[in-house]
Amino acid sequence: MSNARENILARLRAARAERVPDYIPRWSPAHPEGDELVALAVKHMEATRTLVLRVAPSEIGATVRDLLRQRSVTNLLRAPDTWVGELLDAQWPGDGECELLTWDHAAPDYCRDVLFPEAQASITTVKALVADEGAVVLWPTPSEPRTMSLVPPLHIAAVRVGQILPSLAEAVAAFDWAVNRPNNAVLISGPSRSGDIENTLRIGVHGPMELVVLLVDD
Amino acid sequence: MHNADFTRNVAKALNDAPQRAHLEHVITNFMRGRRGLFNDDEELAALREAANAVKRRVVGRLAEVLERLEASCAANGIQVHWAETGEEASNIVLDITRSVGGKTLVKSKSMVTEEIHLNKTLEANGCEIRETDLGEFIIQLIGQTPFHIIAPALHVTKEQVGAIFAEKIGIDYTEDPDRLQAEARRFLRERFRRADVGVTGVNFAVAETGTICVVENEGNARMCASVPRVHVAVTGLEKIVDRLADLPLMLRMLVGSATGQRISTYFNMVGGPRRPGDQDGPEQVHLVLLDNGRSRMAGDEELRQSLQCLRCGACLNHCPVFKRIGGHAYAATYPGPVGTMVMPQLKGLDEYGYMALASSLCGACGEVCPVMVPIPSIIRRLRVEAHDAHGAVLDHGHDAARMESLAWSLWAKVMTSPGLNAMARKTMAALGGALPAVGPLGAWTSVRVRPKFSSKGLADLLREEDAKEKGSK
Repeated sequence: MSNARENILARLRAARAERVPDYIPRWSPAHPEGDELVALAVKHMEATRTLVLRVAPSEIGATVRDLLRQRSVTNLLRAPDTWVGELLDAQWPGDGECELLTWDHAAPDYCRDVLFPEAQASITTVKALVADEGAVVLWPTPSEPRTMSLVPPLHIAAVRVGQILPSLAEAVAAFDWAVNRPNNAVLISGPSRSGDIENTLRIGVHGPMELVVLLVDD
Repeated sequence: MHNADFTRNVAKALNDAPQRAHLEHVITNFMRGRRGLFNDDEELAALREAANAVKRRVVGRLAEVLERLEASCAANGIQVHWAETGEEASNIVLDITRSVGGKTLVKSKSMVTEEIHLNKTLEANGCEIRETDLGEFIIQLIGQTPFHIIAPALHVTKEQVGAIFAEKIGIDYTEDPDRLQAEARRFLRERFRRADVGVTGVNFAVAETGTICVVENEGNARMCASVPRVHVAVTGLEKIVDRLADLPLMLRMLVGSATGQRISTYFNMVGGPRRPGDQDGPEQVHLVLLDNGRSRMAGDEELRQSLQCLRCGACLNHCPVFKRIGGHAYAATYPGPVGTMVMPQLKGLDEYGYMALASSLCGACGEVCPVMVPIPSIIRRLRVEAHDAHGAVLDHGHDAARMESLAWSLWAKVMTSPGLNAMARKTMAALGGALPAVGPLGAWTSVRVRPKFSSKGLADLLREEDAKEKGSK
């Protein structure tokens, strides 16, 4: 196959354009600040059928419990070593109505064996929320793996208000993304959706049926 | 396929009233969606200029950009493969699957894998490859090809979906779309969980960072790229951006032009296989770079612009021809204006030259293109190439021996020689009206008013005007 590489490159080298445009300035949409920035983020996330709830750190446990109870959800996967995991663990009532799951790193294949068949909901932290796009940005980690935000039918994304950035362009710069290169990153703007049956929008096909953003005051 | 078959397809599609009504409805929605997002003409013009510059920089120096992409991918642990033809690309995917002892694959929506007929190759070699995008899942069960590049099952009714699900996946018949969607979810989740290999397309590959980006709404592409132990991404070698910082703009242009969304539900950026300590994600990530005629396109200053295309589908949604005949009449992997532009270039004018005729050259496709590909000029160029013995496109000049070529060269001679021109005009004025409507003239006048030939040319009329003016002074 190395022949293919050489052949293709040889043809392309011969085809080089005489002139190509100079770099254009980075495209960067509006830069709102403070309350305006938060309002824009909420507006754009709600437009894609995401439920956004603003809470104080002390209310996280009760808010999440209510969310799960209303949906008859009986377990929740969270990572105990994240800020939101620590708050939840401290605030979670020990009545056994809803079980907190922990990704078992010693299990041979937690994703296939437990996550797929059993997890009903997950809560993860985020890297940022980008307001112009209206999406949470996740850089999965060993404690919050890629499929944690994808497989359970309900995904709750915990965002500190200070994590809201104006746009993806700002996030790329702020995280020095091109240098730090996460081996996976994902933007999520709402629940999984499809328009493939008679071109009518329906929520919840392969990924989560519902996305909730918990906007937590710093 | 030949022009006569195409004409038959067109007639059939035009007479399909329910399909036409449905297409009209869907396409109007797509147009409205795009307009709703890009509602400031000045801003849109600036965005298109910027996106055009990003892609022109890439397609004008593809060799350099591809080598950079390859090096960045290698640094991330992504294995890069090069394929000159579709067959080579399909065989690469097959070899990867076999190398891990795999037999089952799940695949997300990707036009390039349609182009190379990947499923056929894999199935012929004992593999099971399952389409997982809901629309692709439906048409795979029915045994059809995509009707629209971003809405593959646009033409299928919910009753048909119910019937095929009942037949092929063993559920009780229902035509309730929510239940059908839930059944597809249940059925496919098990496939994601068990598949050996996940196949996806690529919307953007970032040369600077070796990142494979996939845009989607359903979550199936994330499944394909995250759950199986091997992820294979297949892409045409042009779908690259230089820098990570180019992504925000390109993402907005792609998604907004396709569906009118600000952003897709998911934008997945794969930067490599799982690292030590990671709990999920593929152990191997492969990127297959496909040429299949693209490097030939890069060789021509005008045709090269075809490689800027993002495959958003906006040109389909704004095309008066596509709107009336739909995607299947073209009998080509890529339908509509984008197909008309790329199919003859990828596969040759001999096989797909007829597509270049399926355009009124109204210009709408070029006006909505987010990267400003001059689609109408390229289509016109392809028409010329069909008769041009010294052209650049595969099978150029294949029509050069035909009557039409002869007629045009005769026409050119007459129009550039005043004496011949005057003689021809007088002859046509005297006899043109009496020509019997057979052959090309018959075809022409069957749907158009017969032209009337004037005995006076433009020069004659100007002379008369001059004479009148002088007389009135």
